Order: sequence, then structure tokens, then C-alpha cells
Amino acid sequence: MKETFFRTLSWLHTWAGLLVCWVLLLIFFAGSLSYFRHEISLWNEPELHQGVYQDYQADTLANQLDKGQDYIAAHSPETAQRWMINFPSERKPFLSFSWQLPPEKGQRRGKTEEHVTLADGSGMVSEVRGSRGGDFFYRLHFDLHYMPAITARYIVGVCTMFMLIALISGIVIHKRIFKDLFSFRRDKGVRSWLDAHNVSSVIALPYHLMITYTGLITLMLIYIPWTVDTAYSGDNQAFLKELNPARQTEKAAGISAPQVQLSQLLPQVQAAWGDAPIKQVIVSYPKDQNSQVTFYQNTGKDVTDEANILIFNGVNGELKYASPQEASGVSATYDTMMSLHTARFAAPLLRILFFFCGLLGCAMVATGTLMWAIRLRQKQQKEIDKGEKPSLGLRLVEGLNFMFILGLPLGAVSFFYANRLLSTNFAGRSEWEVHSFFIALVAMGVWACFGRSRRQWQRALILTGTLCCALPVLNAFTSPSNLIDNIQSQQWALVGFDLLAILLGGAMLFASQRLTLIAKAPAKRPARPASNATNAKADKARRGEPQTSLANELTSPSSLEEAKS
Amino acid sequence: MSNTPAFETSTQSPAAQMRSFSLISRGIVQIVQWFTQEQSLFAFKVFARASAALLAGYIAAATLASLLTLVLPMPRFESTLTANMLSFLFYAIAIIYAFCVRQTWHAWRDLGLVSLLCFGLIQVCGQ
Repeated sequence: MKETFFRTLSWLHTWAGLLVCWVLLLIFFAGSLSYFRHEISLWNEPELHQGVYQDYQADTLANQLDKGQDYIAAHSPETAQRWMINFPSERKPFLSFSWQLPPEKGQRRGKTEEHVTLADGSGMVSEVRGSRGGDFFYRLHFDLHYMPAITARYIVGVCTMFMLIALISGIVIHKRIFKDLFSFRRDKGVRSWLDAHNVSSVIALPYHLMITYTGLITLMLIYIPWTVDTAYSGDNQAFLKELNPARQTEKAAGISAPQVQLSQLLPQVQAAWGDAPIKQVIVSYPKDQNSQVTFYQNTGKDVTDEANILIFNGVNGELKYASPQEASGVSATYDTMMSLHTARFAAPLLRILFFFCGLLGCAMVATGTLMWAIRLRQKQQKEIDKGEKPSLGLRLVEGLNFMFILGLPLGAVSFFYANRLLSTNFAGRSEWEVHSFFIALVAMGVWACFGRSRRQWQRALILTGTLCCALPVLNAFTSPSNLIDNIQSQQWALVGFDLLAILLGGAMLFASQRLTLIAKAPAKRPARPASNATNAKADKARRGEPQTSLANELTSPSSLEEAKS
Repeated sequence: MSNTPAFETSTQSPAAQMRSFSLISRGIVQIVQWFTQEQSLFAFKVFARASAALLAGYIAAATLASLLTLVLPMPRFESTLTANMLSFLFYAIAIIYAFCVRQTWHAWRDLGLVSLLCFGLIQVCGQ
């Protein structure tokens, strides 16, 4: 492409990164939040904030199974396709009974209704507000929204491939990767931005590479299905059966048969697993001749993600399948890749570390695109000073930066506000929670059309930061327990949510404060309306890094090329 | 395009024909000029390489992975998983190759050759 390998990759890095950076930002942001998928879901269901928490109790399993089976049989409709009994686990500390209805027309899977038992056994919580909770962010990061899931997955796949190329080329063009890790030159214009970009990329580089590649691997059968076609001569079902033995291939027979008592299967389960905790029991096609019962072990902190399961015949209780003790090297590798991406094994502290690595990924994308905007503006500075309008490309880039970098946090915050403020009886509430996320995002886009100056960045940051800091207050008023109660009753998931909200909101307020300082500083500031070269700094400041002075930034002629050599 | 009406006006007077001829020739000259401009030449090169990277690279990576499922000495389930997991690495290498090879058309040629070779070997091994 260019004269040398180095310059070619430099060019490739710029374009591979920039073309899809806003989608990547969305994916990184939603993906980071979905590390706390269950915690967010729990926060979004304040009905479950009191009286339901309990630990796993191995000695009352038979009792709980019987109770669950009787309860579901009595309360679920005849058409229910699956019954599920969920035992308390570390991240979902309550016992719940649920069932899945057959899919409605045009839907891929049916609705699930979940009832949670009160810990003292005195009854059930059946009226929980409809909310997609953490599942929304989880789905958003690979299914996007407002479009068919498959289309979205192809889009996400292409963007991820761009990301992989940007990462590889970024490593190649970053000659002094070790030395630069320790250098952050503040107040040096574009160079400081480059340093911020380098630091956020290199600190979490193994994470970025891992999350990108394993992300591709989680959906690899959609992206490259030809391998299965070749190896299995088109018999995809055979492959899927080997991939996931729990997959039930036979459909309901339509002939009713008595359902085996679940507690009678327990001795067989204990014979196979000993005292290992059970996570979930699923009865598919209950009261049907083809019914089957699957026990899922709670594998807890194992790094491989393979489900450890036992499958029984649902009519006579015969053991049909047990996960092999020894997995082959390849499938263990595959499971580990999957589990590295989802971090299912991660204990709370490690999970938080993953989350911050994800935020560093956001910072990497954001600093990259902000740097691009600054360089574009520098190139056009002469024309702009003469009073000409910035080019369409520059306005577009600055506007999209404003919209996505500020709109995504605001969207998430408004999602949580909608969750608590919309009436619980409102039929479309879970959809409107989701709409509120996108409304906030679009509102930021509209805002960007009218002004993207540093002042606007500051106002938007104050708005988002304040709303974010106020989330614990909202929680205190709209749920049965506030932050102090939660600390006393050791509900660390809820406590963590509130503390993170304060932390992130505080970071945004701090950033806006830093922006004020710059604005007040009597730097040799040319009177220039709506300059984004300066606004762009908001994001860096938001992440608590020192920002460059405007004057330096404008006078600094150092181009990216020079900065690298 | 200014020269399209020329094909429908053959029954017109010679003067009109001359006019449309000059229009065509001017159009051609403009197109040639556009293509020889450095900027558009660069744009064309970028397009050729990007399409080679995305399309030919994908085909090369997919055929190579499919070939691996057949030739790797493991059970077919494991070889399928292995090949599939590696395929994105092949794709990434193919993309970078497409942008780095010296001649633009070599990107298409080489990736096409790899795909053909793998496809041929799949046919041989598959029997």
C-alpha cells in the first residue's frame, strides 16, 4: 500500500480503527457492563431486594425440589415447555421456580416467568416488574437492537475483525511498546493524546487481544460455518449434538405421561457428583412421553466453561447422559476461550478487574477517535481561522464523538432511571426502558448538532455525572432497602452497584471540574467559538488523566508520524 | 453520464452525430483523466486491496480452515473446533498480507491461489 511495511500498517491502523470505532465503543461499553449482568438484573428488580436471600442448603434439596415441582405444576399453564428450578448460587442468591411458555408467533423463544421463594419459606414473590436488566446490555453487545439478531451479529463480527486488525497493526507500529508504557507526557498536545491512547491500549493489551479473539470464537459457527459443512458433509445437527450433548433433538411426543418425582433422582445425582452443589434443574416437555430432566452442576470457579450435566429420562428416571470427567484438549481449549470471554469463573475482585479492563478498552477507542478529530481540525485550522466552516467530515467525527462518548453513559443511566420511575403496571415497561437508553443516545446526537464546544462537553458531563451519583438515592427511595441497609444485610451485589455508580459519576464530575479549570486558565487562548480540539479533552479528563493545555495543543505541530518515530 | 443519449440518436443528422461523438470522446478523456489522477488512482488501489482483503481473504481463510478439518489428525469434532478457532488468525494474516504485498493485483492473485489450492486439496482429501 505505502512505501514501507511500517507505513502501510500505520495507515491500516488508522482506518481499521476509525471506520467502525463508534460501534466498537458501543460494544465495549455494553460488554463491560454485562460483566455485571446478574447484579444489574438484581438491581432492576427491587421486589427481590428483601426477604429472598438464602444460601445453598445441601440437606434440604429433596424438600426444595418437591416444593418446586408441586408449585410449578400447580401454577404453570399446561402448555409450558420447560420447568426450571434454580438453586441459590453466589451471584443469584435465591431459590426460584420458573417456567417457559411456548414461543409466540415470530419469536424464537418463549417468555419465561419466574417466581422467587421467600427465604423463611412463608411464600413466594410472584409480582416482579418486567425488566430486561443486565440481559439488555448483554444482548446489546452482540445482537445490537432494533434489527434482526443475525444481521446484527454479522455487523458485530465485521467490526470485531476490524478491531483485531487495528490491534495487530497497532502493536507493529508501536515501536517502543515497553518504554512508552511508562511515559505520559502531559500538556504536549496531540502527543499527550497519543500517550493516553498508548497507555490505555498497552496496559490492557493482553485483555484487548483476548476479548477480541474470543469474541470472534463465541460466534465462530455463524461467521465460518464452512468447516462444519466440510467435516460433517453438511450434517450440522451431528456437530451441534457433539458440541452440546444437552441439546434435545426429539420434540414433544404429544402423548401425556406421568412426570417422575424430581427428588427421587437425587440419590443418582449424589452418586455421580458427591456433594457438589447443583445450580439448576430443568424439565423439558413436562408430563410428556419425551420429557427429560437435566441437572446442572454449579461449577463455580472452574476456568473451563463446560457445563457439567446429568440427563435423566423424565418418565422413568433412567440416566441418559453424564458429562465425561475428562474433556479432550481441544474442547477444553474451546471452553476456556468461551469462559475467558464471559468471565463466568471470575470471583468479584477479578470481575471488577475485567470490568475496568473493558473500560480501558472504551478509553482506547475514545482516545483514538478524539485524536483523529484533533488532527483533522489541526489540518483545517488555517481555513477555520479565516472564518470558513469546518469540513463535513470533521463535523461528523466531532458530532459522533460527542454523541457516543457522552451518550452511552447517559443512556445507561437513563435506563436505570426508567427502570425505577416507570409504573410497574405499565404493560410495555421493559421495552420503554430499552427505548430510554436509545432516546438518551439520540438526544446527545441532537445536542451535538447544536454545539460541541468545551462548554457543552462540560454541561453534558455534569448532567450525566450528577444523574449517575444520584442513582443510590433513587435506589433508596424506590426499593425497600437503601445503601446502608444493604451493607448491614451484606447484599454486596447491590452495595457494589451503588458504589460503582458513585465512583463513575464522581469521575465524570471531576472531569467536568477539570474542564472548568482549563476554561478559566488565562492561556493564550485564541477567541474561537465551538472548538472541539479542546472539547475532546473532556474524555481524557473524565478518566482522571491530566489534560493538555489548549495553547500547546494548537501550536504543537507534531503529527502522529513524528510522534511515533 | 453525458454520452448515454448518443446510442439512441443514430437516425439524427450528421451534425448531431458529430456533436454526440465529441461528447463521447470528451467523456472518455475525462474518465481517463480521472483515473490517471493520483488521488483517484490511490482510491482505486485502496478499493482493490480492501475488497481483496475482505472477500478473497475470507475465502482463503475459510477454505484453509475447511481443509484443516480434513487433514488434522484428530477426531472430526476436535479438528473442526481447532480449524474454526484458528480461522480468524488466518483471516487476519490474509488481510494484512493484502495490504502489504507490493503489487495491488498480487493481493487478489495470491489469495485466490491459496483458496484454489486449498479447495483442490479439499476435493482430493474429501474422497
